Amino acid sequence: MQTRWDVGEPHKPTINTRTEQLKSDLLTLNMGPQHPATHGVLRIEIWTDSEIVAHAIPHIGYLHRCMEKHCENLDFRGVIPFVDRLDYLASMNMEWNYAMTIEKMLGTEVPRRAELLRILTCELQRIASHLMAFGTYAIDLGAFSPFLYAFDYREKILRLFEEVSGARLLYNYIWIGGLWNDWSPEQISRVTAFCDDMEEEAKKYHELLSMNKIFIARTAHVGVMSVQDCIDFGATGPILRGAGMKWDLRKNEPYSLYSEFDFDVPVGTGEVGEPGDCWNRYIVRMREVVESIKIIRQVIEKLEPGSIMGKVPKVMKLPEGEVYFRSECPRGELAFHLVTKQDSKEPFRLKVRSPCFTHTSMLPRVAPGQMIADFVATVGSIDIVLGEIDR
Amino acid sequence: MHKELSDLINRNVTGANAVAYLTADAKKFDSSITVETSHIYKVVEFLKTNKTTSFNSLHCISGVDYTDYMEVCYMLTNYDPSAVRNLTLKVRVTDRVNAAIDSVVGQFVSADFLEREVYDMFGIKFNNHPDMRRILCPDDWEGFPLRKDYVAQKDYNGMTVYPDNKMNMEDREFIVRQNMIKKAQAEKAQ
Amino acid sequence: MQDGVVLTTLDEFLNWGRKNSLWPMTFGLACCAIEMMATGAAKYDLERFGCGAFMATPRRADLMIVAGTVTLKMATRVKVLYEQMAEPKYVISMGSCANKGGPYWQYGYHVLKGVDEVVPVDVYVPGCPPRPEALIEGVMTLQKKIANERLLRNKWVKHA
Repeated sequence: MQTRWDVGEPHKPTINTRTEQLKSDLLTLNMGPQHPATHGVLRIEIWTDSEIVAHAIPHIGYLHRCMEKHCENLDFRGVIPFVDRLDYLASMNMEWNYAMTIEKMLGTEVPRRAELLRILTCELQRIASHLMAFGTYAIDLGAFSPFLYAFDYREKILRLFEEVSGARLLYNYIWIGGLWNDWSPEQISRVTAFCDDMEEEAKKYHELLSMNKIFIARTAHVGVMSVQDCIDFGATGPILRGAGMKWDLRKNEPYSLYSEFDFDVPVGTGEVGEPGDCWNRYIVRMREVVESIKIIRQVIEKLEPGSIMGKVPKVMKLPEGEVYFRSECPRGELAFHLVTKQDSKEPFRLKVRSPCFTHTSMLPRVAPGQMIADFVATVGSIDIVLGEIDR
Repeated sequence: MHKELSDLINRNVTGANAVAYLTADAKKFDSSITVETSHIYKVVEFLKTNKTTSFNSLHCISGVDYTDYMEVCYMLTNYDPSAVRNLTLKVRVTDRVNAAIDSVVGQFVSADFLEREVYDMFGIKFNNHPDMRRILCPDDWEGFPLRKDYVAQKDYNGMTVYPDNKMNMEDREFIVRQNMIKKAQAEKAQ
Repeated sequence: MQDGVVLTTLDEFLNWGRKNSLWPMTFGLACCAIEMMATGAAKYDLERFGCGAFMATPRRADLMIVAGTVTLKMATRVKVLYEQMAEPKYVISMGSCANKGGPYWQYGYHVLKGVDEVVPVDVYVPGCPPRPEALIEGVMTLQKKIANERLLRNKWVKHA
């Protein structure tokens, strides 16, 4: 195998002279592409020396669905269902980012009620995505009950989304210029009730998992990614915040109406373990759920009746140019690079900058020296979704 | 901002020929800086290490195929709230058969996966890359999918890529027939 | 019927055992995998049909639910895993990507148009993604199909 410059040195056993005399080769293990549901089809080639990982090489592309090629042949509106299926656990955020990219180019003005409802929907989607990450991370480490609790509350959010958009998982709801369906006051009151319930639940989850001795033993000081590592690799989202840097696009480069809201950006401080380890990334996600609930409450206070769709031409023809629009999604910073030709009816090139793609490239840096079980905990904590990586 | 940056690059990196492309409407479209293909590594090194604008993170490398040439766009950024934050650097490649650019992996570790993806989709090789092979398509795939003149191969490892019985042929033929009828009627009416 | 004595045919007895304890192998590839997990979670419980034990290994499973898009790179692995399963084995193709390529059928150069190109499928469940109730209906249809099997006409016994 060729040596790779960015991978750590193979671990040499130096326990006692007897093991030093035993010469052993590295064993190659294949983690994936089919391994217990959660992350999807990711294949990691692990070279181990007994239980310690020496190299880890991720292989992706098992879910490459040619989305960018499809987008070059479809109308601008017809791209939205494909954009949904990128990060299928946070579809609303994907759609919103795409809609904002096109609206920037068209110069459309989105009505205030539509903006507020978009923020409401996307923050609810953020809660659902973090609940999913919480449940599946616990299952990876062997704990089964948090999965059932998390999915129960996630079903409540999906029920609300189903009433508003018609689908449970891939919505096609946030359209260019606004939304396609309105929320009724009764549904808004159910959102308020859900927020109250969720705050109580978050405290329960804290006692159930975050402060659990076994969970702390498995995740504290494991898979440390420092702030410099994150900047080198272009990591964003809970990984960068878990390492200790307070960087959130909703605060630093506010888009839409986020500058009107008062919320905090949770950061991994090392209250258990050290900043940048799996526990801190996990706790950043749990605290973001609480912050999202704050934002949702403020949105509901500001909500007023109005129209939900701006003025958009029937036949969408965009002028020539390019836009790179980024927004904060539950997994990091997503960006769309859109290139159009004069009066074109379809994108000339739509490139998706996926946060999980860059996070997967951090695995070879973090893996050497860990035990295999620790490596499983690290892969779970970076919370990847293969639909976004492979597109 | 782009004009000053391109002047700064031209002063400090000889031969870079940085040209700022400024859009008419900055609120709607993005501006960018195009540099000479052979000097991309030096420009990136300068932008990362200089004191005024230290772009210390590479977020995205995106390739675009305009049929007579191909463009590779580098999205540089930094996490400093007070400095210039985002920059798009562009590089042109005209040779379609042996397209090659210097890799910036020495400066930005994130370019590892990103450049492999550009190679997989467009066929642009990056010199001095530690692991230049396909990332999304299988290793023995033929052709570079996101090029405009790409035609998919007929089958791969015994599986047909576009089997006839699944390509919805009856509906497509129906639509073609309907269009022909409409066209004939329109011509008759004239 | 006397206490403790049940009269039935061998076919019905074997089919009853097989259909009420179908252990699925998690083959979650994409978005449909999330709906499969939701079907296994507390609200739409799949365990009450006997399918609760999601085995990650093919050796212990008898049902393979192909949930999600099968790409050409992954197709060889699907075939290998199917062959590793022990008979009797069944396949449910869940979602429109596994049925016929799904929304990626037209320009998807890397998408396999339907998992039935590599693996024989028993039940197709349409939807993008199918609701948990739809997946449960798919499992129930498979149970009806298994109930109609005849031991001596069975493909495995014929070739034995």
